[in-house]
Amino acid sequence: MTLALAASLAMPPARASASPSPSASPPATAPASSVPSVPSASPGPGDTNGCVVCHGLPQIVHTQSGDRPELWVTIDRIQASVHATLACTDCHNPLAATGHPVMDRAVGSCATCHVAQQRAWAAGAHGRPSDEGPSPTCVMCHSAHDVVPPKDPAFRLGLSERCAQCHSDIDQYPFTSNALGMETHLGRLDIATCDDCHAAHEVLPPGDPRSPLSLTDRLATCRSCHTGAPDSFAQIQIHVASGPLPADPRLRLATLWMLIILIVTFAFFGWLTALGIRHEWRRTRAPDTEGA
Amino acid sequence: MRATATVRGLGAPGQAPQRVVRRFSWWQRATHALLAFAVFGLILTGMPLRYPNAFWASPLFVLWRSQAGAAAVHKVCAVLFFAAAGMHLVTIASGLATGKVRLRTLFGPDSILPNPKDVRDVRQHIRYLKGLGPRPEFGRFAFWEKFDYLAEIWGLLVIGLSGLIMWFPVPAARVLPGWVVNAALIFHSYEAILAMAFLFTVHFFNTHLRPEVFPVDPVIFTGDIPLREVGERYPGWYRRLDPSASRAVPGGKPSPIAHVIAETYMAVGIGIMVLVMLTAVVEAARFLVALIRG
Repeated sequence: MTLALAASLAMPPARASASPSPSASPPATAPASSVPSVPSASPGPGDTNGCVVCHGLPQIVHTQSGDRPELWVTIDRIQASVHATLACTDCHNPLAATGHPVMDRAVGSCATCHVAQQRAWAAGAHGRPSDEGPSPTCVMCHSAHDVVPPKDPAFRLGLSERCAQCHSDIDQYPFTSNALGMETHLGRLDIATCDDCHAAHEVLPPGDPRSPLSLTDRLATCRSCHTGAPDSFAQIQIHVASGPLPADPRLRLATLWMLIILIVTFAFFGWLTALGIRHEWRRTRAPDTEGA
Repeated sequence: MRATATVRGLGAPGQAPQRVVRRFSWWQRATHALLAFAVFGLILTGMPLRYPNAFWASPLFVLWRSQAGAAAVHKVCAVLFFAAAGMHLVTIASGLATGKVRLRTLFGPDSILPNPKDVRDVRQHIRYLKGLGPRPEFGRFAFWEKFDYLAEIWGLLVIGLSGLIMWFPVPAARVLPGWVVNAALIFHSYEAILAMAFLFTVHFFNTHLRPEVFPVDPVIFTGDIPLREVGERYPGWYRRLDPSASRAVPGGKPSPIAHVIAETYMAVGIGIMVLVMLTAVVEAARFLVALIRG
């Protein structure tokens, strides 16, 4: 334990027992402005077992191994989440008995209730060990404490950015390159985002036959919104690479053709307009030279 | 024959009657007014949808309430755009039906369709602007006006069809391969940039902001062009003009509605033009900064 953490751990019990109006005796160890969330650090409807007495203090983030912002959990955050009625130990089960072991038991804890999602996750690529980094568990997408229902607008609209935290290659395919991306970027909730096509828990690469985007299932996935979509509908590219020229030769040709028209038109008429302006300039400057 | 008189297209109060020629019927003027209205709406909704991070996008979304509002207005304006095209088809059909438009006149010197003389006119006009020759004897429409007209038809086809493909992707995919839906977005956005930049620079500078008619050429809004201007601007047409085609109108009676429309449109158009140019400057500056910073 660092000194800072020790200090912050030592301070709150005195505060919690001091009085129901915390502003009466601000702690000397921290400026009053830095602890705005402390007044609400009293056990709420979801029994937080006193955890937030320490974890509700911003100083808790300072640890021996550097700052760990995720340690700071206020009662307000829990109350705002869909898990407001749960107690901390409902998920952090080992903590009640053992103190503070560092372990990611998220999947096991979540699966206490969300069995189907846990199974789907384990069957997908996200549930397998990967060479590309740690496999994402529940909390990487849903967060640990600010859990909201997946239908929540903020969750839906922010989903693509969450996916992009690991799938950073998506940056090559900007949202402006496809209609779905443009619409979700602009706040449409009824438009498909990542998980609507790629599945939410059993996430698999499109090459996998079990993926909703496999060649056999792709059209059915399109049809879940676009009823009656014909076969060629599944050929529409959703992630089109950015850059001035698309990789697809046909789209590249279309872009080049339009660029040539654009450049030729403006080169010619720009030149003509410039000549016209010069002509007018000369005519108004030296009216005598013009024949009557 | 130089524009020495101060009389403009609409005349000034208290002046003697002047002879004018009917250049555009009320139906044609309504077509242009509806088309311009629809194009303004399409630009002011389409541009923020395509470039939501531009500095002018969020105020426009406030104007349209939301992006869904902008998309809805875009589709309403698209319908008006097609309606203007339909009005023009009515013009052509009625012209053919009444015999006003004949195949012979369509390919004649006063047609809006281009002919070989326009190629010569382009060369001669460039020589004229360089001070090396006389002004070409334009017919009823100068070559840049013909280009405006054809560009409008081209633009309507490209932008209208690609827009319809994206609006109705499922029926479109029934008859088209999937990649065409992707290509539709490319065609639609490039053609929109082309059309917008063309309208607010070339069309405005060559048709409306010319010194002789500055700030707006009222003919497309009032329908009447003074006979004197016909002689100056379209000498070929002037020579062929039936003397009975012109009529005397009392001076100083400009149509207030036409003027309100003309000036409102000009204000909106110049507003968009300023935004387009500002964006170009901002983007160029951003590009230079990125270049310098490496």
